[in-house]
Amino acid sequence: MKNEENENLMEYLKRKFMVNWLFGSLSREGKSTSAILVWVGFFILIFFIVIAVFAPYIAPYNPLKPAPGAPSFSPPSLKYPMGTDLLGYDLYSRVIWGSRIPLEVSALSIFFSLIIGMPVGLFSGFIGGKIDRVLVMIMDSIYAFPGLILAIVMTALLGPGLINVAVSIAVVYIPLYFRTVRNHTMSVKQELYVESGRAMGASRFQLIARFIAPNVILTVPVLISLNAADAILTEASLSFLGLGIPPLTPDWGREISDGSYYLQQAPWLAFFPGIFIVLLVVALSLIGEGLNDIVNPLIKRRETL
Amino acid sequence: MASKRALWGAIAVIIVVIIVFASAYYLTLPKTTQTPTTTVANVITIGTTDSISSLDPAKADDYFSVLVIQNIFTPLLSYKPGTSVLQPELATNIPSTSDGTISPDGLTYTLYIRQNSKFSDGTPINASTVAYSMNRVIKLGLDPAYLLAPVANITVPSPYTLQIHLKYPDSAFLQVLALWVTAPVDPKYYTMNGPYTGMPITNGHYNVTYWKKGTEIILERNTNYYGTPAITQQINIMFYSDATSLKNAILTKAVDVGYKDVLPTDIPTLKNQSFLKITSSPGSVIRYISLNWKDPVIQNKHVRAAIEYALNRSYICNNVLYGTAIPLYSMMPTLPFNGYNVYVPSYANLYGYNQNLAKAKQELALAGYSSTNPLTLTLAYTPTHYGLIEQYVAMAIKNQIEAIGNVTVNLNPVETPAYWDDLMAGQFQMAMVGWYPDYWDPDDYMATFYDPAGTPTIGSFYNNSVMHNLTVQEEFTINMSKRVQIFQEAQNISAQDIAFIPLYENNLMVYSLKTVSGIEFDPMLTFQLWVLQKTG
Amino acid sequence: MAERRGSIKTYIISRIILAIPMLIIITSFVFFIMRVAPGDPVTAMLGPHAPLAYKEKLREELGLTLPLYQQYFNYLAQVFTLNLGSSLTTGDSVATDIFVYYFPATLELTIFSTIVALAVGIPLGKLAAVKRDKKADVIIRLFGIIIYALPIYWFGFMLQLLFGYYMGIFPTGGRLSPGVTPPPHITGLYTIDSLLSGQFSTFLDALWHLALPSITLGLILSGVFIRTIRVNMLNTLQSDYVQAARARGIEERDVVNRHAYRNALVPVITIMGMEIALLFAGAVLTETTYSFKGMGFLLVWSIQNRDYTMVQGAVIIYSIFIILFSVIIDIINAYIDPRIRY
Repeated sequence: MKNEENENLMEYLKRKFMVNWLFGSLSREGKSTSAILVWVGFFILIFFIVIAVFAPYIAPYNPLKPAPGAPSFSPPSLKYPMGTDLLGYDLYSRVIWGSRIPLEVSALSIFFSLIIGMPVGLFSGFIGGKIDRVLVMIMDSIYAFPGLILAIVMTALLGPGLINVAVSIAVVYIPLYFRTVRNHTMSVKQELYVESGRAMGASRFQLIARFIAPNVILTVPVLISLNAADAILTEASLSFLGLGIPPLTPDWGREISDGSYYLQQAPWLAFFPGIFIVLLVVALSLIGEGLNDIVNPLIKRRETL
Repeated sequence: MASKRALWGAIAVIIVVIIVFASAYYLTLPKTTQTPTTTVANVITIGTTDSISSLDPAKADDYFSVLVIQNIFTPLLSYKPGTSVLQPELATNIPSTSDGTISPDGLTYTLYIRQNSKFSDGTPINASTVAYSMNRVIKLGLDPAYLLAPVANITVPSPYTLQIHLKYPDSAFLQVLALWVTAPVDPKYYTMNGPYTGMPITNGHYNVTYWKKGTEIILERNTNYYGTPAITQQINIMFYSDATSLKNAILTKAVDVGYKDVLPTDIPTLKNQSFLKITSSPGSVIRYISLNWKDPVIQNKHVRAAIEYALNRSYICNNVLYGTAIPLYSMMPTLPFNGYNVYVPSYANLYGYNQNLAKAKQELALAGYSSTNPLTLTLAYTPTHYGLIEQYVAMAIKNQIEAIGNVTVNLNPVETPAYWDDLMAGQFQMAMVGWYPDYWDPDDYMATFYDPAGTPTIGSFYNNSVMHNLTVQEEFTINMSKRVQIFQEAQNISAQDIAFIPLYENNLMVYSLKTVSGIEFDPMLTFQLWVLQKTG
Repeated sequence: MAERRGSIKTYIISRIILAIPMLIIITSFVFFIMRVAPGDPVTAMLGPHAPLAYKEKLREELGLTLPLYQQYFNYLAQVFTLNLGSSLTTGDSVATDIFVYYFPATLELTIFSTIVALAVGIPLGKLAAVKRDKKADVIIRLFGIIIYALPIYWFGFMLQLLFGYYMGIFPTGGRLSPGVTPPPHITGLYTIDSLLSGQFSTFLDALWHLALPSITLGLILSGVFIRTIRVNMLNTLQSDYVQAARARGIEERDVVNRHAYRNALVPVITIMGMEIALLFAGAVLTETTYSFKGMGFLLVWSIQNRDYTMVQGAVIIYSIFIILFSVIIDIINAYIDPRIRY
């Protein structure tokens, strides 16, 4: 082991993420596998983002219209790599375009969760007392409740639309960010009370924020990737249940739902969209897991400083 | 530790053994309940995805509840199986003007109640029972009460004579006498306080011997029925939660008859089975696009004409609905009414039977739309109420209209009940709607479509005084031939105006074992179970 | 010792008292959102043909014309007396329907799924911890990640295709085969009820129908269990207690199986408490996929039919049970785990 005590953050991260050793060190340091996981996940994610952005160029047919001359329910072939549905829509084009909604919705919902969860958590931890207890109770109630069911009820009642879906999903994950930030705030606040005699000039709030920031920067990316993985699954489940996404919009969950009525005649309709969901979610989970492994010892180390 | 491992191992083995047992059990399950004989089977099992909400004639108005009620109770009149011809049922006569049982002013109907009908608890039925029952429907004012809206009061001049006095003459009222709202109910149980939720006390072809809501209902032949006894002694109706489960039940012979609804796209699979047959008969449900006459775009006749020319009804019926519907070219069903043919393919007469894109393009241009001024339309539909295939019908219509060029059609799915709210509030430019008959008279296909009081309820707001007058006229005319002329004139005007866009008429699709026969429906689409039978 | 007992009583009481505001928060949340929803329940019940006067009458009867705050207080009163009203579509009592038919079905499904999840998750998690950072560990962790990433319904459909349609081994839906009558109602769980009534063939049939849904949900959840068990095992294996055992010269195998394993299982109860929410959420999708008539199926169906009272009732009951379970688990933990301070 190198002299870790003197290593600063940047050097530590660089060491973790170097890809020189790929297969050789699989059995040695466990930490290098974490780096590999992150890289693999990351590249898959990039792949999906590229597909989503360049969908108009990649997809051979217009996803909103039947492929001209396409037969109904034709199995995967050279012309229609993932087959066609009842009216002759090309599944491959729809799956390619279908990458947009999950990415957009989860990005949006993460954004909402962050900008609400984090500030409220900071506020709650800082102010303490009764208000904090009430907020914690509210957040815990939401957190304890099955997220999917909450999202289902909210989407059903708010009505269809991209933003509504994002909001419904965001509500489910706000407590996650709230908790993390609040807990860090509280523990830092304890320390600072001891030190308060020595603090001069800087307000308590600024000090707290300064000490929270590094922890937040470390833990939040992990939360975001795992949150994203979950959000994509939730969004797909919502559209599978027919909530939130208007018809004809290419969306993987919707495709699976539509295809499920033709499982026997045309199993490819339900099969391919699912594979894509799995790939994307696995990618994000790999990133999250890998980051978690790398970041955890770092946090432990910092907390004992 | 060794003992712990042994424990886990034992548990695993037990679980595996249970699974093997269960699979073996399944594989040895008898697939059918038939015993190979050449006689009529005692039990027939029917599967459906529909459900019963109530078996109280004063409360039920939904399709399957009415279906069962009409099999276990007897209205005053009924239909000869498989026809639209009326016959006496609980009443021994069919009222008509020729013998005065319909008074000359059309306000009084006289019916002679038969004397040998009893409830399953032995209580005899007379005219007072019927009067009570009908008054109960009116008094409780629940879902089906509107059918008796024309009734002013009911009198019982003698124990078996019933007289119904109307507020105004209503030529369709004769057909109402064949509906379940005229069925007798036992006053001991069916009180004036509210609906009755217990096991039905019945007098019809069948009695109910078992009823688990949402799961199963068992009907047994009523030996006290005054007429020809039902052919099959016991009918089990099983309720499935979705079309795929029902399809599987049909394929595994778990049911003898499967009906309402099977996905049209499952038909090829079902057709391939050698032991199954598909009985397809014209239905009375019509599907159409309701055009919002308040919308200035729709008010332009050329736009409406363009839409009409662009439609390819055969494609929808054959490729999307897999033959479970036939193209419809008028706002009337194709079935005869009491022996009279009323349907005229008026839209086809003016605009042709097939898609005509050339004419459609012309009309669109005449409407003032072009590549620099494209047309945007919105088509609303409801994703589940009419069946899961609705989405694909909407998509097909969209593609057909867009094939004109310079047109974009946006799809707007709205779930019920918001769909009805929005429809009636005039929020939809075009909406896919259906019409199920309330009673079997062409009048039922007129008032809502052509009366300015009715058209808002289907989001149409069509207002043509000529059509309105025709509606009033046919209601007060008693002579059926004269009425038919009025109806045909109405259909022609409707087509000239392109008031609506009729799409198709759903066929009744019944999937059954080849050994099942006697599959008959009345014009209200009630399954007449008493002639259903299975042999061999 | 006497001190500890006294404070555990207060812990229990305070825990239960804490649960009540949580219940109110969740149910109020749903109540207010429901009032925002488009679509009128009265039109749902009566259909578009009904005359306006009749609709108004029904709206009054349902209490929809009262001012919002009054509706809210009536609603809260209903929640606490468990008078959940009648379904807007079938007219049956919501509470009865849910408690007698739908909730036991979901309970049955979640129990069997948990069995599968634990049966797969515990051994794999333990193996991954023991073989830390070796190939087995990486493969198992990958397996856990991938399997949790599978959409439940998609996995269910693929299993249906393979085992139901192609191989014909298992049924593709429902709780019982058509024609099989459910056992007399004791708990509502078909497996237990049929065993208790001696209807062995019904028992087998119910079990047979539970196979695919439980495998679907259980396998997917095992992904989470693998991760949690692994982490717990790792922590325990590095703990002082275990180091002491090693120092005493006890064989590694015994260290793992006797000392570490047992301690690592203590948090399993906590894990299961945390996973209740996941189980219920997963059950919604599993039930929809397999037409398994439990609460999840009911929830989706009621939403599609705008059956307000059913949806409200379902959410309330979900909340009650989740809070109930978490309270029970916290209490059990307080008894078992000496590390918890109260």
